[in-house]
This record gives sequence, structure tokens and C-alpha cells, in this order.
Amino acid sequence: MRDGRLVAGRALIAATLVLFLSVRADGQGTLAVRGHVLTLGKPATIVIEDGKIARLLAPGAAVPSGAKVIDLGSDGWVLPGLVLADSSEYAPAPADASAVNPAVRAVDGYDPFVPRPLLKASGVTSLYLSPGRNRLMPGCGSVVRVGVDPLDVVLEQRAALHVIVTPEAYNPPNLFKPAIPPGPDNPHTSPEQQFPRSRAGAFAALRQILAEGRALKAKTGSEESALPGNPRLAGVVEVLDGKRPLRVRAERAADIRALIEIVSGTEIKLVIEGGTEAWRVADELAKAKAGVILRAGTPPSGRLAQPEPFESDRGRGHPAAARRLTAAGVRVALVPARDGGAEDLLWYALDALPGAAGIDAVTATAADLVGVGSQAGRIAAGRSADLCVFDRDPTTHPEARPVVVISRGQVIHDLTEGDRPIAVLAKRVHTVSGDVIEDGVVVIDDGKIVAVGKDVVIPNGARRIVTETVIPGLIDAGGQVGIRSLRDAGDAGIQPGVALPPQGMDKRPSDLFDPTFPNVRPLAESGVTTIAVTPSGGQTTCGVLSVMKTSGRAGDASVVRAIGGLLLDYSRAKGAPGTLLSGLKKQLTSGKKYKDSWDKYEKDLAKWKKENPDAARKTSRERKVGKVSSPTVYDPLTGTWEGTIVGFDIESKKATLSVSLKEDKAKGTITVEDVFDAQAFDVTFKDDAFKIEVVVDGQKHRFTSNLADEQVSVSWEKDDAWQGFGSLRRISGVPVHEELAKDAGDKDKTAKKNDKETGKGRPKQPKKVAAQEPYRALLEAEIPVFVGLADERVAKAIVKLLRDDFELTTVVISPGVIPKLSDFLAEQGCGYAPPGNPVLQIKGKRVVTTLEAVRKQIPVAMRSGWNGDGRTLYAAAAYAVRCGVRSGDALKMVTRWSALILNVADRVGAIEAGLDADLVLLSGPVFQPGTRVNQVMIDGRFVGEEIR
Amino acid sequence: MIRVLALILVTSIAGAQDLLVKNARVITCAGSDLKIGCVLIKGGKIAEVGEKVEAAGVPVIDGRGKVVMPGFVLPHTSAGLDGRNQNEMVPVTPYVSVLDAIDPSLPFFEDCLRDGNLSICVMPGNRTMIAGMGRVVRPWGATVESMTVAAEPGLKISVAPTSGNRAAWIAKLRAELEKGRRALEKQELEGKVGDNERTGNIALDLEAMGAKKRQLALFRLLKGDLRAHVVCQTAGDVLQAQKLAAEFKLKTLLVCGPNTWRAAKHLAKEKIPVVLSSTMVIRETDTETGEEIERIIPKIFHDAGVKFAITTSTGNLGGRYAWYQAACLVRYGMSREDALAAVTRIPAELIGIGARKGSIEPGKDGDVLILTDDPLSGRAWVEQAVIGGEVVYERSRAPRLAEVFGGGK
Repeated sequence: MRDGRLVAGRALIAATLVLFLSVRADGQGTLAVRGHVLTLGKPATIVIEDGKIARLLAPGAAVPSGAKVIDLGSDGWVLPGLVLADSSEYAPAPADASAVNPAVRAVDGYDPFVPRPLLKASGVTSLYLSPGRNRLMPGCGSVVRVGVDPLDVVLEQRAALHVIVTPEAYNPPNLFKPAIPPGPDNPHTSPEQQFPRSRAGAFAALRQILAEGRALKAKTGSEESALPGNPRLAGVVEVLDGKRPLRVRAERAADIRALIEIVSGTEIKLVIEGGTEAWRVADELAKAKAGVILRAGTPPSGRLAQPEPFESDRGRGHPAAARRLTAAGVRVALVPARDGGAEDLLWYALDALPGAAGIDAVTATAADLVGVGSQAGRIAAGRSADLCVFDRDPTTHPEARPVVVISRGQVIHDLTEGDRPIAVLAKRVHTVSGDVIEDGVVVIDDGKIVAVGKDVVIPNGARRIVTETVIPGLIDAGGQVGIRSLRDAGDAGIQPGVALPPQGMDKRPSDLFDPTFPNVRPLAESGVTTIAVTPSGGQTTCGVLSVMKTSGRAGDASVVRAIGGLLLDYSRAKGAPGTLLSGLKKQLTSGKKYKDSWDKYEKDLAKWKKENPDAARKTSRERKVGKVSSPTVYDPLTGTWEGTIVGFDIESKKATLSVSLKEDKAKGTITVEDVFDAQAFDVTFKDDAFKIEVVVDGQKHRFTSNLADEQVSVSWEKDDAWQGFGSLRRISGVPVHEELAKDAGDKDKTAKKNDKETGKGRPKQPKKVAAQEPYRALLEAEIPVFVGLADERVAKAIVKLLRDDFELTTVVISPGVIPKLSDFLAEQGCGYAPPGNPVLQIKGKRVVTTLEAVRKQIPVAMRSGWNGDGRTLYAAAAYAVRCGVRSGDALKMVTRWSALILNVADRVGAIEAGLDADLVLLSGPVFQPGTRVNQVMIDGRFVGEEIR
Repeated sequence: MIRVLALILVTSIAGAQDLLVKNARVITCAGSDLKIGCVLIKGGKIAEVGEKVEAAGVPVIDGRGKVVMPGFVLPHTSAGLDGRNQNEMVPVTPYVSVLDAIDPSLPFFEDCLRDGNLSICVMPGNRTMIAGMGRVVRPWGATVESMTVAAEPGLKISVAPTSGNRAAWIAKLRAELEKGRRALEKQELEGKVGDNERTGNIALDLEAMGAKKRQLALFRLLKGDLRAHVVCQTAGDVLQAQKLAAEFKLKTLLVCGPNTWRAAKHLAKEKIPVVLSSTMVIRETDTETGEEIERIIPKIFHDAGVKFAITTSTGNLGGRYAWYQAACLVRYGMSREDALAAVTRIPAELIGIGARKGSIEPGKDGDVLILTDDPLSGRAWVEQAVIGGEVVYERSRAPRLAEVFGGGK
């Protein structure tokens, strides 16, 4: 027996998922489905033409050229489309006044235009619609196809004639036929009572109807009586002839016995629906060749029926009941214990009847018992092509759900389309933050790593990638890529060699970064998924670093941190150490002052908000309104935003517009003249005021208003013809905030609130200074300072200043100081960010600075340097291993430690659930000679694969 | 009082069957428009449309600065019926006809003149299963007979249940049609159904009518002699109507409520034109995401490629005007021509009067509107309404407007 879940070890042996897509030139789609066909017990290729299974081929046989092939590899399993043998949730059950309505067809209440994505995904391709449960004979059940053309939906209009003998049907309404008009000659008569009110009545009525049917048949023959001309007996004769089943909802053994007695000696095909106690009369049922549609399986948190002494009429079948019935030779179709529950049909069925028997109970037998056995439920040549394809064996994997569902030859559900989860199955998964997982799986969904481990459930329909080794995407802790250079940032052309010189503190490399610049993609292909884009050194203050992704995606999608660090370079600084130090100190002190002003503001604001909760809430909304400066496109036809015309005064040519911002932030009513020529209302919000631009006769007119005012006069800008208009027209109604609207009746209250909303006592926000923002982040220890050092004495003084006085995350970038200062730096808790893996020659001895740093427990973040090439980062780490660094540490130098130093470890740098899906797939063990980068994934997408 | 006055006034200016409208912008709703053009009506029919038309001895209206267009056609309305209830509660009443309920003196018809609706298909209400016969009338005339444009355009049927019980409703409707078919077959075997028999202004004495006469309209429907105007509320109803039409070989015209939008692509594929109800925008809650979605119904139908006419509604302020409905269609992305066709040419075709109404073309009835401005500008008044070459309405002499505005505008 296989393990219930798909584990990495097994999956590794499996071939990679292959999906060939091609369509025949003439557009006539032939479909070929490959996989292990569970109902045949062997692999096969199913060729589908014109909605039907044309033929079954041996698995290796050639498929017709041009056919679209669905092949989930050796993990592909194929089942017939499932048959849900009872449902009442897709068509509202009719409940006619009369207790007997054989002319009603359930399908007439079914709307095939309603999209039912969950049903399509469930694998159910044939659906039995129940005509209802609270009349003795509620009508005929119907079988429909799922997901096909609306005209093609009906599989069987009158699949079975329903009879309900459970107490649900014992309360038919009285038929009330008042006289029209009532009067002395024509008094009200009491309403007509209907059968049945009791179990005995139900059976008496059923016998009566069947007897009437027999009499009609004897009189007219079956042809005539089959027509719905006689509403009471329509279809009854067909049931007597055995042309369609008599489907009786019955739970108790006694009822079922009575039914068996009624049909014995007739042609009637009996199907029991419900059948809680059917197992008690299993042998009689088998003898009568009756089928049972059993609610079975264990409903989660549901109650099991008690076997003794007596079961309820609405009871649920015990899972064992299905086994007892099939053992006795009764045909059993299973429906979920929970009504509806199509998506869990297979699971319920397999729980009640494991293996092939369970599958049979929701495919072939279910189709037989609902009267469509010749059309659905089996995989054979000539039959309707209803299939569901799984990417694992559904009989052993409870989590299996259909990956592809085909109904009548059309693919109605396809998990292999669009962005889907990816499972990377690797011999070694270097999580870096934890252990190396042998035969591990990394599951990626929606750009993030969702699961890592050995025993991981692979999502249904996931793309499986098999590889040798997986490491996190590499991080370049400092390099220059994607920069057109400051001078040539415009249209002066591409000059890859031009460096990013030191810049002011108000500049952000992220603003200069061009994700499509030609040197970004090669870097990504080399395995570097994250890079701290840094200005060149050479000045004491060189500027800000931005941490970027190399995914090539535009806009903010590539930015991890716009202010990702600060670069100070004292390695070439001239001047007395004292001057340098005091300069730096001054710089940082001013930054600290700025930070403190913000700290104070935030503290005061929190205090104020606590004291004025109402006003605080209002202010937050205010801020939101202010943000709508670039309105979202609301209606593609009218452009930006529009009011709804709620009234039109034809005489004064005046239309009243009710305006409301889409997200319900402000609303009001505005009156605009000649509105019919004005098709676009361009609204912008700024602080408390909004501005509406109306285009009338090709001319723009504007008016502005203040949201807070109660009555607002409209002032028109531009255009002389409209002068004076503003004094005449007013905004009628009150543009109010949502909260105020509630209190519209209470003016005093409103006034008070208005007072509050002006935000009295609200602390004043300090001014934002772009050049000071990096210091704020730095001093809050959000970002590191990279510092270039040379002279030993100066270096010590600067590091002390940075660490002791300002407690900054300090990273030394100069290899030269490592041999002498490594102990000091370790003591100070600094990091080390060397360009590559520098090896120094000191007095004829080779000193590997990274090894030295690691030995002193200084975290190392490798960078490519401002003149370097990030593509060699993996090689640099590999060289560190050659120089004696443990391979685990070398890997951390280009992943985890860099992420920690750059304070982006919550996004990148390790293989952990929740982090960005940045992975490098290697051809062999990491850093082993000959190992190459095979594939690189950034944010869940493989580099080089087209963005879908 | 005012009504009487209006009749006198307007009668005094009417009477002639010939008319020449000169120098006006002509919107023909049938191909190209004329920037400056003339429309000549002779003997009640449009005789000539051109840039320069001369005709001696014909009354002339100088349309300088005015716009001439065909009268609007309302493809489906129950306004114009007298009485509070436009629906029968008995589900099957094919023998009922709006003929007995249209009241020529209703303000609705006066409004129609003022609003430019010159052909109106009056139908029984939406809530009866087989509701009865409709009638196409013009808003001009003292009796229903004199107003009649087409006597028996079709029988109203509703596949949308009045109670939420679709399958039972359809079962009943199917049984009624089946019953009718059987009775018809029996009658035909006995040779009793004459083609010249018509339902008409019948006394509602059902006993006296006898079963046969009561079913006459249904027989004619089943023989393809009448069109069924089928009211559909959901997309499923559309399919149901189509299936019943196929099963019983009925000629149908679907009158679709806003919730039928999911069937738009299907209707386009099957090339079924429809009449859309006046509601243009609905809000739905997505069952999976819980998100509220706004659906612009005519846009969905237009984008799918369904040919449709749009109705007006007396209920809301803008929606009562055909030009407002057309303007909204433009707002939702339709071309001007398509939008105007949806309130003139297409509804005329759909209710079977396409050969006579809906556009300004030689040979068609001389039903035109002379507007003060472009119909989509929102400031156009019907200056004069012309039916069959007769000026039946003049704004300057409309007594009701004069009363409201004190001397008229």
C-alpha cells in the first residue's frame, strides 16, 4: 500500500510533467488524453473526436497529427466524468400545489447560463436534478451535462419519475378553489384535502396512481398515454413499461419492503433514493434487481445513523451500508452525505467503498441508476467523452482533485492553464536558514514559497520540476546593474560601462534602475536574483543603496527596498582623522535630530488618536480621499469617474447627478446644466477639496468644491459664457462623509462633529526631507551602513562612532582592514562585505579575508563591487570554498547573510515558507566543480519563461 | 377640458395627407443622413427624400435649424391600458386582448405625442402565463380602431414564473400548449378551423364563447399565424423560450429583462434579436468573491453582437424618453446610428411593422418628428409630430405645455 501522500522520493522517480499543446490547422480539435485509466486498470491513450471517444489506443501509440494532447506523464490518472446521482442545489426544487405532478421536469428550473466553476472543477460531468422532496410525486428528475453549450445541456429530461414516501411528503397544501365571485348562490367551499398525510396514505396513493396508469395503458396503449395530455398520469405508463425508472425516496426497511412488494411481478424498475436502512433488506433488493442511491460516507462533524433500535427517516447511511449492499449484489450509486458537496463526491464514495467499487458507484452504476448508463459513466469507444484527469492516483491520494475535466469533448476545467503552483523536486534543498533537505520538495504559489520539506503535499495541477540541487536565489550585496548612469538617464543611449558615481542622499538608485536594461537579464540567468544597487565609492558620503530584484519586472515589482543602505567611503579620504570624525558626527547628529522629530510626532499622534478616536478615524479617511489623485478607471467608456443621472428637468435643462466615489468615501449630489453633452466627469481629489471637470460641447468646464462644507457654491473656471453660472447654481444636497450621513438629521451633532473633524489639537507632521530619510532608516536600524576603511586608526575611530554612539548596523567593505582588525570588528559586531572573495598576500602569506572573517564569526555578504560583474558571484563563492571556507558558509555569504545584513531576510535569502520564490536550480551538488546553474526562478517565475 | 381643447386645436391643423419639410437636418435611420434636406410626404407616405425637393401645392414646413427623424417605436409596453391591473391572475387567458383595454383618452398617449413615440406596441402585463393579444397603435385617434397600426402583432407569453417555481410553471405552460395542439389537431381533423376567424373585440362571456373560440388565439399561435412575445427574466428563461418555440414551432419575439445578460453570447450565436427592457444597469454580487459587480446590460448585448431594440419605462424620469434611452446607449459605447436604430428601425422590424415604420425612406409611412435639436443632445423638443403626413402635434399649440409654462415656449 502506498503512503497516502505524495512524497518527494516517489515523485522524483516520476518523469517531469509534460504538456504538449497544439491545435490542428483546420481548427477541428481532436483531443488525446494519456494516462492510467482506472476503470480499465491499464494505461491508454483516449482519442476524442466530435465530443465522443473515437478510440482507445495503446499508451505508446501515435496520436492523430495535430491533436491536442493532455498528458500528465506517468502520474496521470484518468476516470470517467463523475455522475452526481442526486442534487437539489443547482435547480430550485419546484413545489406545486398538487401532491401529484408527474408532468414537472426538474430541468425546467435549471439555468445552464449560470457559471458554476466549483461544479466544473469537481469532475462531475453528469448531474441529476431532483424535482423536489415534499410532494408524493414531485415530478421527473432530469440529468444534465455540466459545462457544455446551453443547447446541449440536457442529457435526459425525464430520467426518472419521483415518488417520495418519507414524511417530508406527508403535508401537501390544501387545494383552495374559491368561488368567483362568492355570494349566497355560490358560497365558499372548504378547501380540498389532498393525499397523503400519513405513511399509509402515501402507499395507498402510490398504488392508486399505478393502478390508474395500468387502466389507462389498457385503454389507450402506451403511445398515447405517454404524452403529457393527462397531467396526472403523464409518464406513469412509461414507468409501468420499464422505460424509465421509478425512483422512490425511502429510508426505512419496512418502506423499502413495501415498495419491493408493489413492483414485484411488474416491469417497473425500482430505484431507492436515500436508503438509510436499505442494507437490512439487501437480499430482497438484489432479488428485485432494484438499485440504491445511497447517501454515504462520513460527513465531517456529522452524526452517524444508529443501527439500533430504529433509524430516523432523514438518517444518513452508515459507511458500512454501502459495503453490505454491494456484497449482496445490489447496484449502489453513492451521493455525498452532505447535500450538494459535488466537489467531495469522490472522497465520500471512496470512503464508503474503497478502490474500484467506489469509483464505479459514482460513474458507471450511478449513470445506470439515473437512466443515462448508455450515455455517461464509462470510458469506451463511441461514448460521450466525459473524463476527469488527475495528476495522482485518486484512490490512494485523498487530496487528489481533477486537474483537467472534459465534458462532451470540451475541456471545462484545466488547472494546467495560467499561473499554477510549481513543485520543485530536488535531491538536495539547501534551505540555508535550516538544514539541507535530501529528496525535498519546494512548493511555490503566487510568487512565494508556500511549503518546503520532505513530506509535502504537492498541490493538484502543480507543475513539477525535477532537479538535482536547489539553493536560494543569490544576493549581490553591492553592485551596479540596470543603470543607464546619471548623465545618460535620458535618451542618450545605452552605455553599460558607465558607473553610477557617488550621489546626494536624496537620490535613490531604484529611480534610476531600468529592469529591462540589457545587463540585468544575464545577471538573473547567472543566479543573482537580488542586488543592492550601489553608487561607486570614492567620497566620504557616496549615497544610498537600493535593493532590487533582477526579475525584469517594471515599476515597484522590482524594488525590495528603495532605501536599502548607505555607503560611506573613508578608504581614500584625506584630512585629519579628527576632522573626518567630527564631519561624520555632525552628519549623523543632524540625522538623529530629524529622526527624533518624527519619533516625537508619531508618539504625539498616537496619544492624540487615543484621546480623539472619532476624529482620528475621520482623519484617516481624509488621507485616503487625498490619495485619489489618479482615479482608477471606473468606466472604460467615460474615462475616469462618473455620476449617475438621477433626475432630469426638461424645462430648465438641468440634470441632477448623484456622485459617489466608488469606494464610498464621499457622496453628494451635484446639479449641472446641459449634462447630456457632457459625457465625462473628471474628478480629482486633493486634500479636502474635489474638482470636477465636465466636457461640454468639446470645451472643458471645471468647478471645485470643498468636501467639508455643507452647502457649496460652484465656481466655474475659464470660459466667459459660463461666468455667473456659478452664482446661480449650487451643489444641491450635501457632500458628506459617510459617517456624517448617518447623523444627517441632527444638525447640532453634525456641527460638533465638524468641529472635531477639523482636527483640533492634532500634532503637526514634520516636513519630509528626502536627504534625511536615509539617516532616519539608518538610525532606526532598518538599513545598514557600508563603510570603506583603510587607515587602521581612523577605521577604529569611525567604527566606534558608528557602533557605540549611534548603534548603526555597520558593514566594512574593505578587505585590507580584515587581517588586522578582524578581532576588533567581531567585537564591535560588524559585518564584512567584500568584493568577491579577496585573497591578500601579506608577507608572502595568503590571507583569505572571508575565511578570516567567518572564523571570527563576522557575517560576510559578498558583493560584485562597483566595477565588478555580478555574474561571477557564484564563482566567487565557489572559490571561497576552494580557499577553505565551508560550503555552507560560502552559500550563506551570497544568500542568507547578505539578506540579514541588508535587513531583507523576511523576503529573500533562504528557502522558507513565506519568502519570495527566488530559487537557483543547479545541475549538481552546490560548489562541486562542474556544477552549473540550470534554471533561475525569481518571484515564482523562471527567468526566460514568458510572463503569462 | 384641456384634453378637449387639445383635440380641437390639433384637429384644426391636421387633415392634410401631403407635406413637405424643407431645409432641415434629416436623420433617416436608414443609411446616410442629410445635413440639409427635404422630406416629401404624399398621400400619407414618404414620397421623396433629398437635398432639394420641390412640390407644388403641398403645405410646406420650413425646418431651418430643425432636425427631422422617424417617429420612435416602442416595441413593448403595458402603458396605455386602462385600469390598475394589467395582468390577469388566471394563468392562461389567450382570449384576452388589449383591444378592450386601450383607452385613447389616457394621458399616456398625449405624452407619447409630446415625447415622439409614434408607434406603440401595447401588450398585456408580464405576470400572466399566456396573457393575451397585443396591438400596435399610434397615439392619435379617438377610437382604438382609428389608432390601430397593426391589429394583432402577437400573443403575450411569460416563461418567467410569478412565483419562484420555474419547473412547475414551465410544466404548466407546456401542458397548456400541448393541450392546445391536441385540440387544434382534433379541430383540423374535423375541418372546423377557418383561417378567416379572428379573435377580436370579444365579449368576455367565456361560457358563450365556447372552448373553441377561447382557444382561437392559441390555435393561431400554434399554426404560426401569430407571434409570441415571450417575457424572459433569466438567461435560463431565454433557453426555455427557445426550446418551447422549437418544440411547438412557435414564432417568438423575446422580451428580455436585465438578468438575461448571461445568454447574450448564446443569442448572438443563434442570431436571435430581442427587445431589452428599460433597465440598463444592474448590480450583482459575485457568489465566489462577494464583490459587487456592475453590469451594463445593453453594452453586454451590444458587445456580444445581439441585435436589439430597447424599451422605455414610465417609471423613471429619464427612461420614459426614447431619446434618453438612445443617448444612454451611446454613453455605453454604441454608435449613434445603432443607438437610434434601437428605438426606431429595429423595434419596428421586430414587431412586424418594419415595412411601414422606423425610418425615413420613400414608400414608408409619413411618420416623422420635427425636433428643435439633435435627439441625443438632451435639449431637443418635439416641435411637430407628423403621422401619415398629418401634423398631429405642435408644441407651440400644445395646451398642456402652455398651461405649465404660461404661454408656452
